[in-house]
Amino acid sequence: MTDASATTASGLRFAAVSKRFAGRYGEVVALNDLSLDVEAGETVAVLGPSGCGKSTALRLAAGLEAPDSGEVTIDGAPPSQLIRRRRLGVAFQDHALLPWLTVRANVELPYKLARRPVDGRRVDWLLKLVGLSDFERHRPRQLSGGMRQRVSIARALVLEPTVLLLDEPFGSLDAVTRHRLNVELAQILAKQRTTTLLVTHSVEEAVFLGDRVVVMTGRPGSVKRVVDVPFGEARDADTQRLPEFQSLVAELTLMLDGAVGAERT
Amino acid sequence: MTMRGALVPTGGLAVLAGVWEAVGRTRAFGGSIPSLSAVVGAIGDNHQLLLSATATTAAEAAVGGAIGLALGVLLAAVTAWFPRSHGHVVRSVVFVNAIPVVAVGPMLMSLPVRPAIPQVFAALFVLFSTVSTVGDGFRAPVESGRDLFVVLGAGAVQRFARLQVPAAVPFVADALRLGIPAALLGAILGEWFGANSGLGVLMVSAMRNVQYELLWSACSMAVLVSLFGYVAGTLAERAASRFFGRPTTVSAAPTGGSRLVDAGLAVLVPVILVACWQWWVSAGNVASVVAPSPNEVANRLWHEGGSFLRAAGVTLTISAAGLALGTALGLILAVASTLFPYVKSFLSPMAVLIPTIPIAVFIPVMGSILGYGKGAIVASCVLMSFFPVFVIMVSGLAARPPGSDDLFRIYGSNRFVTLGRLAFPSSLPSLFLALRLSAANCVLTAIAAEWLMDTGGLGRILSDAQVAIDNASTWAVAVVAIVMSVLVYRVAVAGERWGAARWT
Repeated sequence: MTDASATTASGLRFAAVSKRFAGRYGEVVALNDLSLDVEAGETVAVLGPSGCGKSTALRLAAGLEAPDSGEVTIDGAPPSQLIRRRRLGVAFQDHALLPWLTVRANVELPYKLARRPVDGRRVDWLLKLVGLSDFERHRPRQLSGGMRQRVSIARALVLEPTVLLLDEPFGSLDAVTRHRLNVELAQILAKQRTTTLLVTHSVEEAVFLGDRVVVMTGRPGSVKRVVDVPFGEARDADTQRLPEFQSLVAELTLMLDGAVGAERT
Repeated sequence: MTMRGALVPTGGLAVLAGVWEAVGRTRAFGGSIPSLSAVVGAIGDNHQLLLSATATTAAEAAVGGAIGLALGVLLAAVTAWFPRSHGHVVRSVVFVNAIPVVAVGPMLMSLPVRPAIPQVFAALFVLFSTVSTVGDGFRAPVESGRDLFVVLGAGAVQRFARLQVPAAVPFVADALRLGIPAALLGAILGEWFGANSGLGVLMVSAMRNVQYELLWSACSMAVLVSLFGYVAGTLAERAASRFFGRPTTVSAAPTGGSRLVDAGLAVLVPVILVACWQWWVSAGNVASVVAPSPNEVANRLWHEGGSFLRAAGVTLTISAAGLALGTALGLILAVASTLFPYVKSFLSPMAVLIPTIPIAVFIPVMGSILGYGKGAIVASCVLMSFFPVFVIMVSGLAARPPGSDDLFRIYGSNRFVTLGRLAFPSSLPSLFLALRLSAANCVLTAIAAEWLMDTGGLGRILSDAQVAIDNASTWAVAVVAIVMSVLVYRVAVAGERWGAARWT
């Protein structure tokens, strides 16, 4: 129930995907010819400046938008198939908790929408995993921002998704809380080995959580570089103090700066 | 609120009560304004009569209001299920709202629905605000909430039941809060046309029989019931907002729905209604005492159209004068509140009380103070339009672009310059909004006052035709009044749009 073998892993693939939006002053090309493979069980962090189309990529993977050209597939099928099988988990930037439900009921919601019996033991386990067992009767407004995000991640994991999408899950938090939650999330991801696409603008977060980091350029959004992260699966707070970690962060920061610079010229 | 902060508003109420008492004691208006103590005494003396009248009116308002609320929630749910219908439903409800119910009143008087006129009016008054408020509620769930339900594979039924309905609950409570004074207003207006008992009946008979104390005590009861209901509604809304959460922004209403369908509906619905009416009158051999045939009404419009139009002109002039004076008064007080914090806290209890008061109760009061003439009708319109302008402009003048206040302070601008160059220009869309809300209501108030005092324009003709049991004229004048009100509303909407485009 709680180990990795229960989840059948599957890969997420972007094949030459383009997406345009009708803007106020004409058409905006959000993504241009984006190709990217997330292997089964792998965590890929997409890093880029704001407005580079990384959130659009995530929305395409979640089946919330359709590409204008190219294809987004999960195990060879469109994302809608995965949604129909209730095997897609998403944690949104603004947590999207329902204010009238308790923490526990928010985590149970995916079972209700799938018309499946609630697995109380899995909910217990997840609440413990995100450290909120004592807060299951609270409502979202009684929690801090970090706690709300942890509820949102527990909800994303509850149906044992084959693909997990994380959209700046800690984007609105202060640096200290963000760092602490990243350490927790790294442990959760190591336990689950779910195919994960993480979108972020924080270089440390991308390097710390990703098996690979994809650097994107903006306007139009496309992949600039893909970098392998060599720190293995078991990462903890000490990983961030390694000189290799620091130099990789510095390198990617420069690259990101170059990406912003290239966009200006 | 601190003790000091509460002192000035309380002082404002005390001064108001003191002035009322003094005016009453000195009989400044020939006794037409009885003192506060005299009104309290009259309530004590007539408590049995007043309580039974209040119970009658409150029951009518409750039944009619509940029907209007249910219908409004139903229509809002339809727009939530079929977003394409949103434009048509809202425009139809807006159209119905622009119809002056007081013009419909005399038409209903000869029909079998007569005993239910107060309930019908209460329902109509509640319907409009319910549809727009609750419609917002169903659209309230933030975008990520909708995305979440898509990603979790929820169907439309699940999304409606588990996301949209809970999110709309605070908005239903809000509609209830706004609907309570509206339902009372509708019930009281309705009683002027077709009831044998109730606060509205008591007010009119007290006005006609020069029983000033009784008139004021009946009005006071109406205000007290309304205030009580409003407070209860506000508490319900607070509790619902706390439990269900209430987002500050609501996604924009879908603009769909073609103009062609609208135009088709605008032609088709009246044609079908007139056809049904003709069929009902001719097939059922309905006596013209009950309802005239469309033919008779058209005939009357053709022959007496000139005098109807002149009467419409009188009503329109009176309403415009009342609107202009009321707007000016509201604007002056709002500006004074903005410039001088003292004035603002002095007037703040008024701004809280105002939305709770069914303004119609002031029409007989104005009649008894100023006599049955155009002055009393204009004064009623002033009261009708002054309140919304004042309340909306106080918040409009306070809402400025973020950071702009600091910008003006850094450049050393004083409060008068800030008002002239920042607060006033940025509040102009609010002014146009207030004008739009007041314009149609001013026409409605004018017709109601004319009907009640049998003087002036369209309302007087309605009243005379009623006395002469001339149903064809009644219906013909009602048609004129409806067309005029809808035109006034369209002009006000165009003005609001122009103002919003120019200043935002």
